Amino acid sequence: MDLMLLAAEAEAAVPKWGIFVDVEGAISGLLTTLILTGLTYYWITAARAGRNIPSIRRLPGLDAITEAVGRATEMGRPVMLANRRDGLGDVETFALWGYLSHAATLAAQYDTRFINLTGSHLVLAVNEAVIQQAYLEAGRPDAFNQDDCRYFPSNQWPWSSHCAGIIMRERPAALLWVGSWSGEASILPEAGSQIEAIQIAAVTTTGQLPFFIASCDYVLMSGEVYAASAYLSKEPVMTGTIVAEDCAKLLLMAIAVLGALVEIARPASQWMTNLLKF
Amino acid sequence: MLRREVPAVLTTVMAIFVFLSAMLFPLEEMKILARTDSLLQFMGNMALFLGGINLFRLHSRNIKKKREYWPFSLWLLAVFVFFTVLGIVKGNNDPLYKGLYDALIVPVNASMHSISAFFLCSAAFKAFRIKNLDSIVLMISAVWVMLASVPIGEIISPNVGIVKDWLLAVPGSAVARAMANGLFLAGFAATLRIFLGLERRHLGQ
Amino acid sequence: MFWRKLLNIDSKIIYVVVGLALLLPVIKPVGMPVSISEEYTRRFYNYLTDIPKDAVVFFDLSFRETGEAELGSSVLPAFELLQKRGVKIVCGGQWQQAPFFMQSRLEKKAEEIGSVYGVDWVNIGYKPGGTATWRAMMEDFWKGAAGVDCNETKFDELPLMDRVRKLDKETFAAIVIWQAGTPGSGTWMQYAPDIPLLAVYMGGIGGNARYLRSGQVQAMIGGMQQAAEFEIITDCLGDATGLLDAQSLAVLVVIAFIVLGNISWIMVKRQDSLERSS
Repeated sequence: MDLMLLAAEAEAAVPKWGIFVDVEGAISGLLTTLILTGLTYYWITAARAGRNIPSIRRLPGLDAITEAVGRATEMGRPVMLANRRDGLGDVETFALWGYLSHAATLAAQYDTRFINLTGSHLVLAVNEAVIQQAYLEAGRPDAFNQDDCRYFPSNQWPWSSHCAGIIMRERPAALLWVGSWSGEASILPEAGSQIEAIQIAAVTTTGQLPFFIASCDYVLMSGEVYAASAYLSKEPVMTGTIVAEDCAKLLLMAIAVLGALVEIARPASQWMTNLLKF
Repeated sequence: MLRREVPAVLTTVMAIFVFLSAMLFPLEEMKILARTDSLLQFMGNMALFLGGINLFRLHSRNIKKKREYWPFSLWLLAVFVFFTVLGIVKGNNDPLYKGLYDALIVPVNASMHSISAFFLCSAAFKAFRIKNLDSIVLMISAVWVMLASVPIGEIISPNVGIVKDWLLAVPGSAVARAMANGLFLAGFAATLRIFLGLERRHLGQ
Repeated sequence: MFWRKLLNIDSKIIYVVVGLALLLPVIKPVGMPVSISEEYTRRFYNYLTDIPKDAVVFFDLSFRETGEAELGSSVLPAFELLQKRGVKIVCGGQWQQAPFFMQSRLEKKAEEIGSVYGVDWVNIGYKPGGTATWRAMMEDFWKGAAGVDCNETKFDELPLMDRVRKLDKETFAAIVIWQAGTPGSGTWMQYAPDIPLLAVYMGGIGGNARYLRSGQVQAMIGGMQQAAEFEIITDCLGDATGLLDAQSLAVLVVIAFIVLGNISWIMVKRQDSLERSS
């Protein structure tokens, strides 16, 4: 055993270019990050300087939240927003808070009960604060009900049966599914459609999209999900980050086309593959 | 200040540090990430206790106030306490623990999952409508892939499987990659907004 | 009108039909013929049989009870195939359930084929902490995995673990993951891209096919059909082969309902427009 440890110590890692770790994609990854950061900085600065920046196209799924809360108010039934498995450090959770704040503010303004269900108790603590703040901003702090901010351990099927139970018992008229989902996506939206709720989904897991598309009225997918905060805030600085993201997409498309052409023309060289792995 | 600025500064400093540690050799050699990983493991385990406390708090309140369905809360707490005590005292390799797990948790979870077969069928019946050309293409490819995923496809024709493999490997992969790239870039932009302090809802703003 | 009635059919009737389609073939199996997919199953099998004798392979059992029929059914044949060829196996999991409930099944299989626990194979169980834990195991396997297996036996009492000091390509010839969702193969693609990865997906390959073409996964199988194919190719018949008839009939029922749904929808639409025009 000692020999093995000595051998492991003898094989000291060698840096790439003297300072970079010897891992595939370390330098190209750093360059990509710097380019994306530069683009974002440029567009934020442009927005702050008051220059004209492109606006975000209409996202019907986000506009429909107002309609859904309005319908729930007319029917005297609650609005529910659910998210199961995203934790405090997940970027989906930051997107979730944008939806939560917007929907809770609308519910507070319309005097409609708002239920939130999460699978992470750490996220619950922040959710409570976000919803409370929304009620405060709507001028109705007294209407905030802590018991409607609910947590159930995120174990997939127990959580799903708990969530389906709430749907059947409380019969929310509007259901919002936000974040990443697993197999429960094949059950929950269908449970929602059985009580004829308006359903809006903002889903980051591509594999589960078909289930939401089959049962929901509106589905936000891929990059749209994260654009909510910027779209809802209407702040030019926030919009600047989305414009930067689109510029990066164009750049990526150009690299993909160039890479494909080079690999077709000189398949043996693999230089684009090697460049990206560098 | 303590509630707003300090967490924002901590987020930015840690983000820069973690990012550079994954790229720069001298920082990687310091093995600081390995230490923060241990901290994360510790925090993850502590979170279990906090979750338990929260569950207890919520359901005790339900029982105390005799809210609707309060017997379910009582049942939940009884099972929760029983399994926790059994796990701590006997360990999860105890025959009783394993037996209960196999006899209760496994079939209950499997039953919940099996519901999806029924719900999927009723959702497909209600939602799969050939309203335009797009939905016709979608339906034909969906039916094709479904058929090819079971032996019936092979019975119809050996080519069913070949077309399915092509659908998955070429158009399917192209779409999945486009979605993945879009998600990555949007996630990156969202991370930058947090990083730059533009997104502050988690700090109550 | 018949078509209108059919269009508004009670969901419970659909459930009964699906239930019968799933149940009848289990009671009276038909035994449909299964042919082996060259692109997926044969490639997966060949990769496993090419792993040199005495190499160590990591089995990542990342699923729960619900994946037992589809995923669990190929774990035992793969285990038997490798163990009989003298390949050592270390099992673990990113999900808490499978490493726990598969242990007794693996023990039974090991006893059957004469594999010795601790020498030929070890199950380290589920290790909480997400990617942080796996990254820690890449630095120091013993420390990251808390130095004990699923039965809380210390690693220094298990001779095989002497060879497993780091989760890296020098130690492991391959990682085979059985995944029902997230976390799953993404962990290995991101943090251990240089260890060859083989994947078994639940519910079919779907969008994961792209990882085969990009070379991030060396071989993959998915869904009940390919699980059955793997059982057949390894001559280890089990759940997947037995349940394939039920899945076949259920698929036919789903297709029939889709067709009926569309016919009734078109007929009702036509009748409505005729009524409007008259």
